[in-house]
Amino acid sequence: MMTGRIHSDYSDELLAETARHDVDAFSELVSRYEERLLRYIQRISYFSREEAEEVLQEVCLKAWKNLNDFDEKLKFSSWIYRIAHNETITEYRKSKSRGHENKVEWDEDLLGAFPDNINLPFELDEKMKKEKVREILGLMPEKYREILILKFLEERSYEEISDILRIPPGTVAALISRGKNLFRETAERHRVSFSPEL
Amino acid sequence: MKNVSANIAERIKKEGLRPTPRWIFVMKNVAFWGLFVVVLLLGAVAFSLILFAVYEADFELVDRAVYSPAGFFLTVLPFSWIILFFLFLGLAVWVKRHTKQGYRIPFWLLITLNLSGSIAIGIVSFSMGGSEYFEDFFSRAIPGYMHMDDRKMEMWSRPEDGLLSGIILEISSDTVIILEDFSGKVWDIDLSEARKNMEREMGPKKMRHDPKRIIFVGAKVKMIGKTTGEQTFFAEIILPWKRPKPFRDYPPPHDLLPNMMEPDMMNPPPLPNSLPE
Repeated sequence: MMTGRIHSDYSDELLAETARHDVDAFSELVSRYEERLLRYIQRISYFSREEAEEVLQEVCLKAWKNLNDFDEKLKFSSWIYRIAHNETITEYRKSKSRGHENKVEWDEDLLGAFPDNINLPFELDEKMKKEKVREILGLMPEKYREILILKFLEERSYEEISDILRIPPGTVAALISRGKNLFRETAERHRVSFSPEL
Repeated sequence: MKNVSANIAERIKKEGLRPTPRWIFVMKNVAFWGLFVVVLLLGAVAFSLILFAVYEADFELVDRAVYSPAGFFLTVLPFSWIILFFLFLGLAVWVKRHTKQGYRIPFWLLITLNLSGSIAIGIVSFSMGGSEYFEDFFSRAIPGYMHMDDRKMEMWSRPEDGLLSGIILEISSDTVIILEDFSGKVWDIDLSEARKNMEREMGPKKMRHDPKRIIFVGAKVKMIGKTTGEQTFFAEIILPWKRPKPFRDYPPPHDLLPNMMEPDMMNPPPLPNSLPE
Protein backbone atom coordinates (compact mmCIF):
# COMPACT_ATOMS: atom_id res chain seq x y z
CA MET A 1 0.00 0.00 0.00
CA MET A 2 1.34 3.39 -1.04
CA THR A 3 0.53 5.24 2.17
CA GLY A 4 2.09 2.50 4.21
CA ARG A 5 5.39 2.98 2.45
CA ILE A 6 5.25 6.75 2.75
CA HIS A 7 4.58 6.79 6.49
CA SER A 8 6.13 3.54 7.57
CA ASP A 9 8.96 5.23 9.50
CA TYR A 10 6.59 7.55 11.38
CA SER A 11 5.77 6.91 15.01
CA ASP A 12 2.08 6.48 15.79
CA GLU A 13 1.99 9.88 17.45
CA LEU A 14 3.61 11.62 14.49
CA LEU A 15 1.29 9.81 12.13
CA ALA A 16 -1.69 10.96 14.20
CA GLU A 17 -0.43 14.53 13.89
CA THR A 18 -0.09 14.13 10.11
CA ALA A 19 -3.46 12.40 9.86
CA ARG A 20 -5.23 15.59 10.96
CA HIS A 21 -4.79 16.85 7.40
CA ASP A 22 -4.22 13.61 5.54
CA VAL A 23 -6.76 10.78 5.24
CA ASP A 24 -4.12 8.38 3.86
CA ALA A 25 -2.00 8.88 6.94
CA PHE A 26 -5.05 8.09 9.02
CA SER A 27 -5.70 4.99 6.96
CA GLU A 28 -2.11 3.88 7.61
CA LEU A 29 -2.63 4.47 11.32
CA VAL A 30 -5.80 2.37 11.31
CA SER A 31 -4.07 -0.42 9.41
CA ARG A 32 -1.43 -0.59 12.19
CA TYR A 33 -4.12 -1.17 14.81
CA GLU A 34 -7.03 -2.90 13.13
CA GLU A 35 -6.06 -6.47 13.92
CA ARG A 36 -5.14 -5.69 17.51
CA LEU A 37 -8.30 -3.69 18.07
CA LEU A 38 -10.47 -6.30 16.44
CA ARG A 39 -9.10 -8.93 18.81
CA TYR A 40 -9.52 -6.61 21.78
CA ILE A 41 -13.13 -5.83 20.86
CA GLN A 42 -13.92 -9.52 20.61
CA ARG A 43 -12.20 -10.29 23.88
CA ILE A 44 -14.17 -7.80 25.92
CA SER A 45 -17.49 -8.15 24.14
CA TYR A 46 -18.06 -11.75 22.97
CA PHE A 47 -18.97 -10.32 19.55
CA SER A 48 -18.53 -12.39 16.41
CA ARG A 49 -15.87 -11.25 13.96
CA GLU A 50 -18.50 -9.56 11.76
CA GLU A 51 -20.03 -7.72 14.71
CA ALA A 52 -16.60 -6.72 15.95
CA GLU A 53 -15.71 -5.34 12.52
CA GLU A 54 -18.79 -3.15 12.61
CA VAL A 55 -17.80 -1.84 16.03
CA LEU A 56 -14.27 -1.25 14.76
CA GLN A 57 -15.62 0.83 11.86
CA GLU A 58 -17.39 3.04 14.39
CA VAL A 59 -14.26 3.22 16.53
CA CYS A 60 -12.22 4.39 13.56
CA LEU A 61 -14.80 6.98 12.57
CA LYS A 62 -14.88 8.30 16.12
CA ALA A 63 -11.10 8.42 16.17
CA TRP A 64 -11.13 10.41 12.91
CA LYS A 65 -13.73 12.87 14.19
CA ASN A 66 -11.88 13.32 17.50
CA LEU A 67 -8.38 13.38 16.09
CA ASN A 68 -7.91 16.98 17.22
CA ASP A 69 -8.68 15.88 20.77
CA PHE A 70 -5.76 13.45 20.81
CA ASP A 71 -3.68 14.38 23.83
CA GLU A 72 0.02 14.31 22.95
CA LYS A 73 0.80 13.43 26.56
CA LEU A 74 -0.74 10.00 25.93
CA LYS A 75 0.50 7.19 23.76
CA PHE A 76 -1.61 6.96 20.63
CA SER A 77 -2.28 3.31 21.40
CA SER A 78 -3.81 4.23 24.77
CA TRP A 79 -5.99 6.84 23.11
CA ILE A 80 -7.34 4.53 20.40
CA TYR A 81 -7.79 1.68 22.88
CA ARG A 82 -9.83 4.05 25.04
CA ILE A 83 -12.14 4.86 22.13
CA ALA A 84 -12.39 1.17 21.27
CA HIS A 85 -13.12 0.29 24.87
CA ASN A 86 -15.87 2.91 25.26
CA GLU A 87 -17.51 2.09 21.94
CA THR A 88 -17.36 -1.65 22.55
CA ILE A 89 -18.79 -1.40 26.04
CA THR A 90 -21.65 0.74 24.74
CA GLU A 91 -22.42 -1.78 22.01
CA TYR A 92 -21.90 -4.72 24.34
CA ARG A 93 -24.43 -3.37 26.84
CA LYS A 94 -26.93 -2.80 24.07
CA SER A 95 -26.46 -6.35 22.82
CA LYS A 96 -26.61 -7.76 26.34
CA SER A 97 -29.98 -6.12 26.85
CA ARG A 98 -31.02 -7.97 23.68
CA GLY A 99 -29.87 -11.24 25.26
CA HIS A 100 -26.44 -11.74 23.69
CA GLU A 101 -24.60 -14.74 25.10
CA ASN A 102 -21.55 -14.16 27.33
CA LYS A 103 -18.71 -16.09 25.78
CA VAL A 104 -15.17 -14.93 25.35
CA GLU A 105 -14.22 -15.29 21.69
CA TRP A 106 -11.69 -17.95 20.88
CA ASP A 107 -8.25 -16.78 19.92
CA GLU A 108 -4.80 -18.21 20.12
CA ASP A 109 -3.43 -15.56 22.52
CA LEU A 110 -5.96 -16.69 25.07
CA LEU A 111 -3.91 -19.81 25.31
CA GLY A 112 -1.67 -19.77 28.28
CA ALA A 113 -1.60 -16.03 28.93
CA PHE A 114 -3.81 -16.06 31.97
CA PRO A 115 -2.81 -18.96 34.13
CA ASP A 116 0.90 -18.34 33.59
CA ASN A 117 0.63 -14.68 34.40
CA ILE A 118 -1.49 -15.04 37.47
CA ASN A 119 0.42 -18.03 38.73
CA LEU A 120 -2.46 -20.39 39.19
CA PRO A 121 -1.31 -23.16 41.46
CA PHE A 122 -1.90 -25.85 38.94
CA GLU A 123 -0.95 -26.82 35.48
CA LEU A 124 -3.15 -27.66 32.57
CA ASP A 125 -2.64 -29.00 29.14
CA GLU A 126 -2.96 -26.27 26.52
CA LYS A 127 -6.34 -27.26 25.15
CA MET A 128 -7.93 -27.50 28.54
CA LYS A 129 -6.32 -24.29 29.65
CA LYS A 130 -7.87 -22.11 26.97
CA GLU A 131 -11.28 -23.69 27.55
CA LYS A 132 -11.10 -23.01 31.24
CA VAL A 133 -9.75 -19.48 30.92
CA ARG A 134 -12.51 -18.64 28.47
CA GLU A 135 -15.13 -20.09 30.78
CA ILE A 136 -13.90 -18.29 33.87
CA LEU A 137 -13.54 -14.93 32.10
CA GLY A 138 -17.11 -15.25 30.92
CA LEU A 139 -18.24 -15.63 34.51
CA MET A 140 -16.33 -12.67 35.91
CA PRO A 141 -17.76 -9.17 36.45
CA GLU A 142 -17.12 -6.78 33.59
CA LYS A 143 -14.66 -4.47 35.35
CA TYR A 144 -12.34 -7.30 36.35
CA ARG A 145 -12.63 -9.08 33.03
CA GLU A 146 -11.70 -5.90 31.14
CA ILE A 147 -8.70 -5.14 33.28
CA LEU A 148 -7.34 -8.69 33.21
CA ILE A 149 -7.69 -8.77 29.43
CA LEU A 150 -5.84 -5.46 29.10
CA LYS A 151 -3.08 -6.55 31.43
CA PHE A 152 -2.51 -10.15 30.45
CA LEU A 153 -3.77 -10.46 26.90
CA GLU A 154 -3.16 -6.97 25.52
CA GLU A 155 -0.05 -6.64 27.68
CA ARG A 156 -0.65 -3.00 28.53
CA SER A 157 1.29 -1.32 31.33
CA TYR A 158 -0.46 0.03 34.43
CA GLU A 159 -0.11 3.58 33.12
CA GLU A 160 -1.59 2.64 29.75
CA ILE A 161 -4.49 0.85 31.41
CA SER A 162 -5.01 3.93 33.57
CA ASP A 163 -5.22 6.05 30.40
CA ILE A 164 -7.48 3.60 28.58
CA LEU A 165 -9.98 3.15 31.39
CA ARG A 166 -9.54 6.68 32.83
CA ILE A 167 -8.85 5.48 36.34
CA PRO A 168 -5.87 6.24 38.63
CA PRO A 169 -2.85 3.90 38.26
CA GLY A 170 -3.23 2.86 41.91
CA THR A 171 -6.78 1.72 41.22
CA VAL A 172 -5.51 -0.28 38.22
CA ALA A 173 -3.08 -2.15 40.45
CA ALA A 174 -5.78 -2.83 43.03
CA LEU A 175 -8.25 -4.04 40.40
CA ILE A 176 -5.69 -6.36 38.83
CA SER A 177 -4.83 -7.84 42.19
CA ARG A 178 -8.50 -8.34 43.07
CA GLY A 179 -9.20 -9.62 39.56
CA LYS A 180 -6.54 -12.28 39.90
CA ASN A 181 -8.00 -13.46 43.18
CA LEU A 182 -11.47 -13.38 41.76
CA PHE A 183 -10.31 -15.43 38.80
CA ARG A 184 -9.20 -18.17 41.18
CA GLU A 185 -12.32 -17.87 43.33
CA THR A 186 -14.63 -17.93 40.32
CA ALA A 187 -12.94 -21.06 39.10
CA GLU A 188 -13.43 -22.72 42.47
CA ARG A 189 -16.99 -21.49 43.01
CA HIS A 190 -18.21 -22.75 39.67
CA ARG A 191 -16.33 -25.99 40.09
CA VAL A 192 -14.29 -25.34 37.00
CA SER A 193 -11.89 -28.14 37.63
CA PHE A 194 -8.27 -27.54 36.85
CA SER A 195 -5.88 -30.40 37.15
CA PRO A 196 -4.42 -30.31 40.64
CA GLU A 197 -0.83 -29.27 41.02
CA LEU A 198 1.44 -32.19 40.84
CA MET B 1 -14.81 -7.83 3.71
CA LYS B 2 -12.14 -5.32 2.76
CA ASN B 3 -9.75 -4.30 5.46
CA VAL B 4 -11.13 -1.66 7.81
CA SER B 5 -8.47 0.94 7.05
CA ALA B 6 -9.35 0.95 3.36
CA ASN B 7 -13.07 1.08 4.11
CA ILE B 8 -12.67 3.99 6.50
CA ALA B 9 -10.50 6.01 4.14
CA GLU B 10 -13.05 5.44 1.39
CA ARG B 11 -15.96 6.45 3.57
CA ILE B 12 -14.20 9.57 4.88
CA LYS B 13 -13.39 10.72 1.37
CA LYS B 14 -16.82 9.85 -0.01
CA GLU B 15 -18.76 11.57 2.75
CA GLY B 16 -16.30 14.45 3.05
CA LEU B 17 -15.95 13.87 6.81
CA ARG B 18 -13.65 16.25 8.67
CA PRO B 19 -12.16 16.00 12.17
CA THR B 20 -13.96 18.20 14.69
CA PRO B 21 -12.06 21.52 14.94
CA ARG B 22 -9.47 21.73 17.70
CA TRP B 23 -10.97 24.86 19.26
CA ILE B 24 -14.11 22.94 20.21
CA PHE B 25 -12.06 20.53 22.32
CA VAL B 26 -10.06 23.40 23.79
CA MET B 27 -13.29 25.20 24.75
CA LYS B 28 -14.68 22.02 26.26
CA ASN B 29 -11.60 21.61 28.42
CA VAL B 30 -11.64 25.27 29.42
CA ALA B 31 -15.35 24.93 30.30
CA PHE B 32 -14.58 21.97 32.57
CA TRP B 33 -11.80 23.89 34.32
CA GLY B 34 -14.03 26.96 34.64
CA LEU B 35 -16.80 24.84 36.11
CA PHE B 36 -14.30 23.27 38.50
CA VAL B 37 -13.17 26.68 39.77
CA VAL B 38 -16.78 27.89 40.15
CA VAL B 39 -17.81 24.79 42.07
CA LEU B 40 -14.71 25.02 44.29
CA LEU B 41 -15.56 28.66 45.08
CA LEU B 42 -19.19 27.81 45.79
CA GLY B 43 -17.94 25.14 48.20
CA ALA B 44 -15.78 27.81 49.85
CA VAL B 45 -18.79 30.15 50.17
CA ALA B 46 -20.81 27.35 51.77
CA PHE B 47 -17.97 26.58 54.16
CA SER B 48 -17.51 30.25 55.15
CA LEU B 49 -21.24 30.43 55.98
CA ILE B 50 -21.07 27.23 58.04
CA LEU B 51 -18.05 28.63 59.87
CA PHE B 52 -19.87 31.90 60.45
CA ALA B 53 -22.89 30.12 61.90
CA VAL B 54 -20.75 28.02 64.23
CA TYR B 55 -18.63 31.00 65.24
CA GLU B 56 -21.68 33.10 66.04
CA ALA B 57 -23.42 30.25 67.87
CA ASP B 58 -24.15 31.26 71.45
CA PHE B 59 -22.88 28.33 73.43
CA GLU B 60 -23.90 30.15 76.62
CA LEU B 61 -27.39 28.92 75.86
CA VAL B 62 -26.20 25.36 76.29
CA ASP B 63 -24.10 26.25 79.34
CA ARG B 64 -27.16 27.81 80.94
CA ALA B 65 -29.32 24.82 79.96
CA VAL B 66 -31.65 26.97 77.90
CA TYR B 67 -31.13 24.44 75.11
CA SER B 68 -30.00 20.83 75.16
CA PRO B 69 -26.80 20.33 73.14
CA ALA B 70 -28.70 18.41 70.43
CA GLY B 71 -31.51 20.95 70.26
CA PHE B 72 -28.97 23.77 70.14
CA PHE B 73 -27.06 22.28 67.21
CA LEU B 74 -30.27 21.54 65.37
CA THR B 75 -31.19 25.20 65.79
CA VAL B 76 -27.91 26.88 64.91
CA LEU B 77 -26.33 24.63 62.27
CA PRO B 78 -27.11 25.71 58.71
CA PHE B 79 -28.02 22.27 57.38
CA SER B 80 -28.83 23.46 53.88
CA TRP B 81 -25.30 24.92 53.60
CA ILE B 82 -23.76 21.76 55.00
CA ILE B 83 -25.60 19.67 52.40
CA LEU B 84 -24.64 22.13 49.66
CA PHE B 85 -21.01 22.09 50.80
CA PHE B 86 -20.82 18.32 50.32
CA LEU B 87 -22.71 18.55 47.04
CA PHE B 88 -20.24 21.13 45.72
CA LEU B 89 -17.36 18.99 46.95
CA GLY B 90 -18.70 15.94 45.10
CA LEU B 91 -19.35 18.00 41.98
CA ALA B 92 -15.83 19.47 42.08
CA VAL B 93 -14.35 15.97 42.26
CA TRP B 94 -16.55 14.79 39.39
CA VAL B 95 -15.63 17.78 37.21
CA LYS B 96 -11.92 17.45 37.98
CA ARG B 97 -11.99 13.78 36.99
CA HIS B 98 -13.40 14.81 33.63
CA THR B 99 -10.58 17.21 32.81
CA LYS B 100 -7.90 15.83 30.50
CA GLN B 101 -5.55 14.29 33.08
CA GLY B 102 -7.81 14.52 36.12
CA TYR B 103 -8.54 10.79 36.20
CA ARG B 104 -4.91 10.06 37.08
CA ILE B 105 -5.27 11.69 40.51
CA PRO B 106 -6.35 9.14 43.14
CA PHE B 107 -9.85 9.64 44.47
CA TRP B 108 -8.75 10.24 48.09
CA LEU B 109 -6.27 12.87 46.92
CA LEU B 110 -8.92 14.61 44.83
CA ILE B 111 -11.25 14.71 47.84
CA THR B 112 -8.46 15.96 50.11
CA LEU B 113 -7.32 18.65 47.67
CA ASN B 114 -10.82 19.91 46.99
CA LEU B 115 -11.76 19.80 50.65
CA SER B 116 -8.60 21.70 51.64
CA GLY B 117 -9.13 24.22 48.83
CA SER B 118 -12.73 24.96 49.81
CA ILE B 119 -11.88 25.12 53.52
CA ALA B 120 -8.84 27.37 53.01
CA ILE B 121 -10.70 29.81 50.75
CA GLY B 122 -13.71 29.61 53.09
CA ILE B 123 -11.57 30.56 56.11
CA VAL B 124 -10.01 33.49 54.24
CA SER B 125 -13.46 34.62 53.14
CA PHE B 126 -14.81 34.33 56.70
CA SER B 127 -11.90 36.22 58.23
CA MET B 128 -12.26 39.02 55.68
CA GLY B 129 -15.97 39.47 56.33
CA GLY B 130 -17.11 37.57 53.26
CA SER B 131 -19.54 35.45 55.27
CA GLU B 132 -21.56 38.47 56.39
CA TYR B 133 -21.59 39.77 52.84
CA PHE B 134 -22.88 36.43 51.54
CA GLU B 135 -25.53 36.26 54.28
CA ASP B 136 -26.76 39.71 53.29
CA PHE B 137 -26.59 38.86 49.61
CA PHE B 138 -28.48 35.56 49.87
CA SER B 139 -31.15 36.99 52.17
CA ARG B 140 -31.82 39.68 49.56
CA ALA B 141 -31.52 37.42 46.52
CA ILE B 142 -33.28 34.25 47.68
CA PRO B 143 -36.92 34.57 48.74
CA GLY B 144 -37.48 32.73 52.00
CA TYR B 145 -33.77 32.70 52.93
CA MET B 146 -33.49 33.45 56.63
CA HIS B 147 -30.63 35.76 57.51
CA MET B 148 -28.60 34.60 60.46
CA ASP B 149 -29.52 37.78 62.34
CA ASP B 150 -33.20 36.89 61.91
CA ARG B 151 -32.58 33.40 63.23
CA LYS B 152 -30.72 34.87 66.19
CA MET B 153 -33.48 37.37 66.81
CA GLU B 154 -35.95 34.52 67.00
CA MET B 155 -33.73 32.67 69.45
CA TRP B 156 -33.08 35.71 71.63
CA SER B 157 -36.56 37.23 71.68
CA ARG B 158 -38.16 34.96 74.27
CA PRO B 159 -38.23 36.98 77.51
CA GLU B 160 -40.57 34.42 79.07
CA ASP B 161 -37.74 31.86 78.66
CA GLY B 162 -35.15 34.32 79.98
CA LEU B 163 -33.78 35.44 76.61
CA LEU B 164 -33.95 39.08 75.64
CA SER B 165 -32.17 41.17 73.00
CA GLY B 166 -32.36 44.64 71.55
CA ILE B 167 -30.69 48.04 71.33
CA ILE B 168 -29.55 50.07 74.35
CA LEU B 169 -31.46 53.38 74.43
CA GLU B 170 -30.10 54.81 77.63
CA ILE B 171 -27.65 54.07 80.42
CA SER B 172 -29.50 55.15 83.55
CA SER B 173 -26.93 54.12 86.16
CA ASP B 174 -24.16 51.68 86.86
CA THR B 175 -26.61 48.83 87.01
CA VAL B 176 -29.66 49.93 85.04
CA ILE B 177 -30.12 50.43 81.32
CA ILE B 178 -33.13 51.07 79.08
CA LEU B 179 -33.41 48.70 76.14
CA GLU B 180 -35.71 48.50 73.16
CA ASP B 181 -36.22 44.92 72.00
CA PHE B 182 -36.54 44.01 68.30
CA SER B 183 -40.34 44.15 68.47
CA GLY B 184 -40.16 47.76 69.71
CA LYS B 185 -41.01 47.09 73.36
CA VAL B 186 -38.98 49.11 75.90
CA TRP B 187 -37.51 47.40 78.94
CA ASP B 188 -35.80 48.44 82.20
CA ILE B 189 -32.87 46.13 82.64
CA ASP B 190 -31.23 45.35 85.96
CA LEU B 191 -27.56 44.63 85.26
CA SER B 192 -26.27 44.19 88.83
CA GLU B 193 -25.74 40.44 88.46
CA ALA B 194 -24.56 40.71 84.87
CA ARG B 195 -21.94 43.24 85.90
CA LYS B 196 -20.54 40.89 88.56
CA ASN B 197 -20.40 38.14 86.00
CA MET B 198 -18.63 40.40 83.55
CA GLU B 199 -15.98 41.36 86.05
CA ARG B 200 -15.44 37.72 86.83
CA GLU B 201 -15.22 36.65 83.19
CA MET B 202 -13.26 39.57 81.83
CA GLY B 203 -9.62 39.02 81.09
CA PRO B 204 -7.10 40.48 78.68
CA LYS B 205 -8.25 38.17 75.90
CA LYS B 206 -11.92 38.12 76.72
CA MET B 207 -13.18 41.20 74.95
CA ARG B 208 -16.52 39.50 74.65
CA HIS B 209 -17.07 40.29 78.33
CA ASP B 210 -15.47 43.75 78.31
CA PRO B 211 -18.24 46.15 79.41
CA LYS B 212 -16.89 49.11 77.50
CA ARG B 213 -17.12 47.09 74.31
CA ILE B 214 -20.64 45.96 75.07
CA ILE B 215 -22.60 48.57 76.96
CA PHE B 216 -23.00 51.91 75.22
CA VAL B 217 -25.93 53.77 73.79
CA GLY B 218 -26.92 52.32 70.43
CA ALA B 219 -25.24 48.96 71.08
CA LYS B 220 -27.06 45.76 70.11
CA VAL B 221 -26.97 43.28 72.97
CA LYS B 222 -28.44 39.98 74.05
CA MET B 223 -29.11 38.84 77.58
CA ILE B 224 -29.87 35.76 79.62
CA GLY B 225 -31.86 36.29 82.82
CA LYS B 226 -35.50 36.47 83.83
CA THR B 227 -38.45 38.81 83.57
CA THR B 228 -39.38 40.48 86.84
CA GLY B 229 -42.38 42.42 85.60
CA GLU B 230 -44.24 43.47 82.47
CA GLN B 231 -41.32 45.57 81.22
CA THR B 232 -38.52 44.75 83.61
CA PHE B 233 -35.80 42.19 83.17
CA PHE B 234 -33.08 40.91 85.49
CA ALA B 235 -30.00 40.14 83.37
CA GLU B 236 -27.52 37.54 84.56
CA ILE B 237 -25.40 37.66 81.43
CA ILE B 238 -25.12 40.40 78.85
CA LEU B 239 -23.32 39.83 75.57
CA PRO B 240 -22.63 41.81 72.43
CA TRP B 241 -24.98 40.93 69.56
CA LYS B 242 -22.06 39.78 67.43
CA ARG B 243 -18.82 38.21 68.47
CA PRO B 244 -15.54 40.05 67.84
CA LYS B 245 -14.17 38.79 64.54
CA PRO B 246 -10.86 36.97 64.42
CA PHE B 247 -8.11 39.02 62.72
CA ARG B 248 -10.42 42.04 62.55
CA ASP B 249 -11.23 42.45 66.23
CA TYR B 250 -14.29 44.23 67.43
CA PRO B 251 -15.13 47.61 65.86
CA PRO B 252 -13.41 50.03 68.21
CA PRO B 253 -15.21 53.46 68.00
CA HIS B 254 -17.27 52.91 71.12
CA ASP B 255 -14.06 52.45 73.10
CA LEU B 256 -14.01 56.21 73.32
CA LEU B 257 -17.66 56.65 74.25
CA PRO B 258 -18.61 57.42 77.86
CA ASN B 259 -19.15 54.14 79.63
CA MET B 260 -20.94 53.46 82.84
CA MET B 261 -18.46 50.78 83.82
CA GLU B 262 -15.51 53.16 83.59
CA PRO B 263 -16.52 56.49 85.10
CA ASP B 264 -13.19 58.06 84.12
CA MET B 265 -14.24 57.89 80.53
CA MET B 266 -17.02 60.36 81.26
CA ASN B 267 -14.32 63.00 81.74
CA PRO B 268 -11.37 62.04 79.57
CA PRO B 269 -8.16 63.99 80.20
CA PRO B 270 -7.62 66.92 77.79
CA LEU B 271 -5.47 66.25 74.78
CA PRO B 272 -2.00 67.85 74.92
CA ASN B 273 -1.66 71.04 72.86
CA SER B 274 1.39 69.76 71.12
CA LEU B 275 3.05 66.45 70.71
CA PRO B 276 6.35 65.94 72.52
CA GLU B 277 9.33 66.22 70.23
